Amino acid sequence: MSIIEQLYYLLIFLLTLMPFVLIAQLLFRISIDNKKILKLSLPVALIMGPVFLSILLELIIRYFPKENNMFYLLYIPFIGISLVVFLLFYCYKKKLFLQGWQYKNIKSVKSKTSIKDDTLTILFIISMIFLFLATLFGFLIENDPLEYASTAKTIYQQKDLTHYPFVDTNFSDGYYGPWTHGLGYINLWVWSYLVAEFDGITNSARFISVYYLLALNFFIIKLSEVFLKTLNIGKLAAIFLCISPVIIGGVIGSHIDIIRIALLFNSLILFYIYLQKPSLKFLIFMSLSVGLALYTHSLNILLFPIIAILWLIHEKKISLSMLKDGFIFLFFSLLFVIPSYIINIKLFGLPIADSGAVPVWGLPNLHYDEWFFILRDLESQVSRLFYGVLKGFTRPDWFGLSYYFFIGAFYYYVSGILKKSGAESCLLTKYLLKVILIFFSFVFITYIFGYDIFIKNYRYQMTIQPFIAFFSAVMLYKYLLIKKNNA
Amino acid sequence: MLSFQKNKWHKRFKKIFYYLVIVNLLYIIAYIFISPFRHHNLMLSYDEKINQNEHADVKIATFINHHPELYSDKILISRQGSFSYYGKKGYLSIENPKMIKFYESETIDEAKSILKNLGITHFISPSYPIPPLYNSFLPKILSDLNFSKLEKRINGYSFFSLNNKSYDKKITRYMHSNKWVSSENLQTGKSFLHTNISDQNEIISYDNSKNSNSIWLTEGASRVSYLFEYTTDDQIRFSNHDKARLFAIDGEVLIDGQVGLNAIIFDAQGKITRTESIWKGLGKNRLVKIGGQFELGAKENFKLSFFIHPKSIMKLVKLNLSSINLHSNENPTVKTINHAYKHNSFTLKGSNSKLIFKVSQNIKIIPKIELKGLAGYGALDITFISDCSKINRVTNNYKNSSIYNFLQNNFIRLITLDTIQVYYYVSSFVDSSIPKDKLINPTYDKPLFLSNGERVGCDKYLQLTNSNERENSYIKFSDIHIDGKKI
Repeated sequence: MSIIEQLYYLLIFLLTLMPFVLIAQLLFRISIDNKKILKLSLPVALIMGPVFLSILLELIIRYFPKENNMFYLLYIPFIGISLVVFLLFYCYKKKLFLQGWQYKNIKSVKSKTSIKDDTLTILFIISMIFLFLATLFGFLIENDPLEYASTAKTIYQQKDLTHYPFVDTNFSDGYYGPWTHGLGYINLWVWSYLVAEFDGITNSARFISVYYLLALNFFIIKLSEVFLKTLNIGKLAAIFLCISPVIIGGVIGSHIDIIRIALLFNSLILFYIYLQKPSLKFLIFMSLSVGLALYTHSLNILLFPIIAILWLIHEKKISLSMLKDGFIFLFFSLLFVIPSYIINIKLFGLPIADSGAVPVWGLPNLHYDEWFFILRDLESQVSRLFYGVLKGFTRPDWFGLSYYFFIGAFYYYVSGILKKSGAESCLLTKYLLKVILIFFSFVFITYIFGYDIFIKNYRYQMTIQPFIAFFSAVMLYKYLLIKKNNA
Repeated sequence: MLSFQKNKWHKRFKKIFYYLVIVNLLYIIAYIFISPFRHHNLMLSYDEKINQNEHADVKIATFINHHPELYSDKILISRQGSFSYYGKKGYLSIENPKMIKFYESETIDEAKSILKNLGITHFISPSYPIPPLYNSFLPKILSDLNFSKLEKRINGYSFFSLNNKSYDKKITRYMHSNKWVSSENLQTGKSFLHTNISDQNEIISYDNSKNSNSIWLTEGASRVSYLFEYTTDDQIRFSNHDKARLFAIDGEVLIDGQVGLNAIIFDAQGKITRTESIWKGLGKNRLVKIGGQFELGAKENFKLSFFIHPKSIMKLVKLNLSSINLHSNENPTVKTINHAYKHNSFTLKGSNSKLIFKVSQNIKIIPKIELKGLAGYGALDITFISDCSKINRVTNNYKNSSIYNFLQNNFIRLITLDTIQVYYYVSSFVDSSIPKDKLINPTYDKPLFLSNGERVGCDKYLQLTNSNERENSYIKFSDIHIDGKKI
């Protein structure tokens, strides 16, 4: 497959995602009537849209297995476009378009850009272009993405999901894939195979993680425009997000992480918007986002405790209406994953499982337990603390300087500067910090009680990287980059 | 705290902070830049990238794809991702629950018969330690020359065939446990053997006479770790001078941390030609098993060395060597790529399928190529390749150039790629359902092999490629002759 062919298939692949992005955007439009928040509809839809395609593909393969490629290639876009038409019609009927569907630009305070800003922006754009080229010219090599790709290959060849997760290799052509994640990421691979008429190798799906990084950056920039009234903080936050080699390396290697992180960030920001102005419609939309996050990666189950704690902090009491809302939230967020959780419980005994899903790892004579820790330099309690809990500081080769910037930002936060910067940005910044602190309290509590779930895998700590980046950008931008008189 | 901002230190900090962000961004750009550009030529098509890449696990998978004659049934694999995605053959993951019986087996014969029952005929071990390679019967199996044989090793990835009965079983055994020396003249740190465990009654001698710094440096091991070497005596080193041999290592070692065993191979002049990583293991103050093999060419000799990771200690308990002579004509002379295969006759099926013949006779002028019993439909490209990469560059005064040199003349084209020269020779269209003999006799008068092709020691290959775009087009022939001689 030549470079031109790769680009051609990538273009087709992205075009087929568009109806689903539109669906997400229209759902967002229906669920909200705040003109300002509506400016976020495109980035939110870009993050949520592709996963709708995954869900639809799973439904169609489950109900119509073993059809030929053309069947799926025709029906998926057809259903997608029909839904778009239906939603457009609904919006038209409800006269939603008249009520500010077209964005009027809210005047954002445009601080003058300095040479310093421009240098950063140019370097950032260069790195994004390089990232695209690196993905285009590279190829799939890391084990986990290859396993997702192989799972997708098996599904593509069988066009049948009866035996997913592939635990019994008699039904999967020898492939053993004992994980509990939904098909959010894998089905995008299957779809790229369908689009390119898979002949052993296809390249489009490798760009999914690049797409998600760009969408997440776009989201962060838009967020800063809407809530902080400047693009510059968003730009700096995007830079802070991309200075972690572990994020960039994961994106080049087509790892799943940036997708789950983008969906988690999206869900928590939507929850923030919900807390500002609760409404039933938006609660449902936010729950759907949480559902998509769960459908993509089991680790996003963290959203439940995080949201529960944030909710309690916000309400400061448990009321009946909160319980009712909580029930609605649980119902809609579990909608997509309940079937797979039931299958997982049958197969593994748990709805989600980490290493427990691989029986060989549990054999006492093989000593897999010590293997994880010695290979990752986490044998002693001290090294677990330094390289496990505090790896953000001790492993700059993974996280760059992001955690050091975070410490600087935290210092300024503690020194009380935030109060000067307007109520809205104050609220958002506090919210970001709350999420970070809740996550780290999980890490510390599990560490103190001797569990290793959060420290074993360095990728788990990437979860809150967008929060770290955004918080640092908000705190550091005004006091370190802009001259005093502008701030 | 606010007063802090006004002082000079604060201004300085602003600058430092800004440059830290720049440095981190530049690092990311460099990080992205090197990732895909390290291993291959950018302009290659995706399939070619896979075929020519330097990643050991993919190389082994493509090697197996190209040599379908080497195995009969299933391959036991330890890195599932790359094999399941790039490989085309049946496999069983080392983590598959079907392997539990093997890990729980009580005797080596039981373990062997379980492998047989699972249909496993080959095994690929990775370049990193995995528990079954030092905790199960697997190392014992890999050190048994009657049962297993090393087929290929690429960057620490080893491909073994199991229960291969086709070779001579005259096994020579060596017991040289008392020949271990610990090197004390390393530049960093002291090396010591873990002697305080008294229940192990074997070996340990402190003779430093034969150790040298050059081995340490060539090894390329981390300077903070320790190196032990095993000096072989003259009897092993110089017996059977002219025959290639296969050595197996069987042993036990007490380790706390991570340890690897390497063979350092010397040529007849005593120069180090390569280092092979035979085995890697880890444990927490435990006895683990060593097992593995390495090949020694004619006129080569070796030393063994332990690579002990930082903060790790070890005590060698037992180590035995055994060897067999290898037949000289073990290497297959025909390589098949993609859907080409050899079965009675030669068949090229589908686009870009290739057959590569090693040519032993001298070809200096334009040869006549005769294809016997040629049938099928499609374009057939015939190419000569001269590969001088095996020649020592220093001694042969080889020009290290990577200039692309295109000499267009009728159908002849020459590409110089470092040490490999490719001559696109002639294209011919095949359209015949009845087998016919076809003589391909080029009409131009350029000599085929230029200076490098004539160099003594360069390997010459004849490559036949089906360049038809159609997937199931095939070209068949029964034999191939160059200048009237069969290859």
